Amino acid sequence: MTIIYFKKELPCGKNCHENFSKQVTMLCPNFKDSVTGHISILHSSPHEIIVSCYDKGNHENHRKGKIISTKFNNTQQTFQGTLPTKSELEDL
Amino acid sequence: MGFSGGGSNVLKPHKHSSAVQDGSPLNMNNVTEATLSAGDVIFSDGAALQRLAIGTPAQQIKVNAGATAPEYFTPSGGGAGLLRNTATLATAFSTSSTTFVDIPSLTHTCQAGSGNCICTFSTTIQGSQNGFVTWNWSVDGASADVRTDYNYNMITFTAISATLSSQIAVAQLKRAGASGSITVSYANENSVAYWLEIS
Repeated sequence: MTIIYFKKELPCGKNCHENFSKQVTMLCPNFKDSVTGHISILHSSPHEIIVSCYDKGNHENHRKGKIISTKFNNTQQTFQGTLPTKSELEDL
Repeated sequence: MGFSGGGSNVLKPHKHSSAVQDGSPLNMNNVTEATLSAGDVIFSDGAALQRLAIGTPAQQIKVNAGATAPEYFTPSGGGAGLLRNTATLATAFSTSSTTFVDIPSLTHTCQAGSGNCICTFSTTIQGSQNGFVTWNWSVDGASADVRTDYNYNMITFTAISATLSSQIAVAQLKRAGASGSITVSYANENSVAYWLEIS
């Protein structure tokens, strides 16, 4: 799994997560949130954003520098195609 | 004149009773002397007074096995040790993962030793679908999932560890369906976790 972490100021509100998710999907159509990857956001100032793409065929969770790898559940699929870059995501 | 009376300087056998010429009651209030050390305790063996030397720090007195005299003993252990900790997540955290991911700043390391830990975790939830929360213990493994409501509601989740042993508990969150996100501490309504360690 490829994990991209960055900080970014976002207009926060009820649809903050969904709005950013739509932008990622527009940038990278192969990114289907919750299916071929997921996004986690700490809604601080600036927001801390983690975009995870399941390109290695498993789910991963970072914990203090360690990677916790988990097998796909029945809804998750391998990410195919070109991965988004950190700079592309920061510019959204 | 001695209290034996009669001008004699020989102390006759006597009792410390209230009878006249029988001496007064034994005054032990800062008057009577004996071969004692500071902190000694006096008790009777039924025939004469006996000395129980003071014990060592933190020792206690109990009745001996024969129920004939007091004695000092060192208590083994004590009552249960209690340790309380609190962690607050004042910033909203959202995820679209359908596999559990860690919630930042809600990690707790139990103290070394044997015992149990009880955790109560309360948070507000917002999402377009249900989610789940759990505590993942480094020794015990994951607690049972608790399904959350998808509206702006408060949930409270309690977990009890089987051991302490320095294990680390991590709060985790996932959403139920493959669409949208689930958020804890929504709108910065704090999530609070209370841990009570019993060792």
